[in-house]
Amino acid sequence: MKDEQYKRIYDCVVNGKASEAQKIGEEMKAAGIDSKAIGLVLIDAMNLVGHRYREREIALPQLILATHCFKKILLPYTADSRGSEGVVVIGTVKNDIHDIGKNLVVSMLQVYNYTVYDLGKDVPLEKFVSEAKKVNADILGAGTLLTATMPELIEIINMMKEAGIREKVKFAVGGAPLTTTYAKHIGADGYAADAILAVEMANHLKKGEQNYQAARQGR
Amino acid sequence: MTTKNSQQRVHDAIKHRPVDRVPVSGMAWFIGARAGGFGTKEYATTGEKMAKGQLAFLEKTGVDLLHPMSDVGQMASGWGTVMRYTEGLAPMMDDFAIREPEDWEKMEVLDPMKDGRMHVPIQAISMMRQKIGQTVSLMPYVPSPLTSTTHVRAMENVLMDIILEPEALKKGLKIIADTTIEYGNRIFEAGADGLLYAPTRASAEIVTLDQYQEFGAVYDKQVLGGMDNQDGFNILHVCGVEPFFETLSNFPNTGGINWWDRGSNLKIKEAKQKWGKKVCLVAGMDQTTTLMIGSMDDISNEVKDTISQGFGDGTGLIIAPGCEISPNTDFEKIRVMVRAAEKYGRRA
Repeated sequence: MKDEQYKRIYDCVVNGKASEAQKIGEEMKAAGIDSKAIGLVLIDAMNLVGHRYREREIALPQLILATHCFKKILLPYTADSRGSEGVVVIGTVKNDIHDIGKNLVVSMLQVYNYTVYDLGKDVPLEKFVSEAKKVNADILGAGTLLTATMPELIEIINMMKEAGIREKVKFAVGGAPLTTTYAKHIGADGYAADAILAVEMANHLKKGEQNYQAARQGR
Repeated sequence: MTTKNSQQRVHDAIKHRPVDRVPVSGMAWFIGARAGGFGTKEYATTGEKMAKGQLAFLEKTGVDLLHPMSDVGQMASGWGTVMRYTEGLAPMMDDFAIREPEDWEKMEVLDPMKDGRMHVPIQAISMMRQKIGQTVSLMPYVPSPLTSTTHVRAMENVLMDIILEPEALKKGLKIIADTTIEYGNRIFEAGADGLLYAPTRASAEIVTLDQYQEFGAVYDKQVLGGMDNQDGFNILHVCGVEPFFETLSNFPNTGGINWWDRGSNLKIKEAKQKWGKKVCLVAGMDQTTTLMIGSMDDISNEVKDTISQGFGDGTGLIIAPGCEISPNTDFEKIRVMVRAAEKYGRRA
């Protein structure tokens, strides 16, 4: 990859140039740049964006725009790209339509080379388990923003046990009202307070660690 | 000091006058349906049912402050957001009204008595006042304009509009602010003491302070300062974990701030030290852990701890969860909150 190609991709993501993103992806593919090379630039760019978010130099609007850009850049490559870090099945539990955090987690995991099966929002609980079993997932992630639907996370664990995959598949949870205390209480393997921390959590779970809680102060 | 009723107790705490004991709010929103034995839709669409449900919650728990409401979509449904009603759960937004940025300017100011479901809490407050008189504080949830944008358009899109379509978004915010002022006026006319006014996105992990100033605070000040009632009993409700407390504490017509102190980076003690003379702190009980999985002793101890951190001056504190309690919360747990406030929060 030439320097100017690298800079163009990097600049698009870091500065959220949404209108240029897909065109850049198409041009890179036409120029013979492979998805792995693109992915390395995207990781560089998202490392900076993630750092700025952690330091609160930017907030969700810029973070979402950056992930929107890299998804558009990757679009021409989507059909032949498959992450090698691990397989994650993820969704927002039934009766909850909040998915902004989940979408960010999906994007961040894809950037860091995970294969992600995004079930979307308002997902029936049995779908989490059947999909995890079907695709041989390493991690099953479930999120909720509502206190009323938090108990559904316990139901998923019970269903994983019934399906015989609880020992094999790590279970991670997230969502604004969740805390490390609650995650531990229900027996989740992992909890992450935001999408940046979710990658860190996934990496630890993939290494076989259990009960990994990626939280910021106060959570 | 004379014994006060719940409403006087709440008013005194908000105005930093001495109180006989620390007041308690259960942040009881949709749980009112369960308290009254009503189905989701009848509670969310009928003022009478909402009133009865809230009063049933009051009878079961003895809190000092009620928030008659069912869900956050009362206003948004007036612009076309489609709600889903599932038994046992608060109504949820199934489909958003605003699809494209250009739709923002197609919005129109709503009539709170005719459009959406704003008439439901208005009617509920009127009926409750008739029933209980001036004994208990009533403050329904009213979303701020920026919060409401995320009830008519998917939040992810709203956040991108902040950067990509700021002027279109501001057209929508102006219409929402004008509607919110009208909604607030009708709520006060019905007999509310104040609003649980919700600039929920005023937190650093959601937007930057500059973004909040431009797309949130401007409209919040318009609404809070633009309503006919300027008694200053309104309580701000912030969802985030890094709330812009300094900015919020300077809002007009504002008496208190409610936030999730147990899950955020701002604890009661620090908030009391920095802003305790300016605003009443409405917090102290963790709705996601203590109220859901804690024992009665855990709840009592948390109330005691909150009082020790934030009630040293004998006022300026209302014990409350940081957000809506789960509709499955045991009523007895809220009763224990009140008992603990009576035990540890009395002032001679």
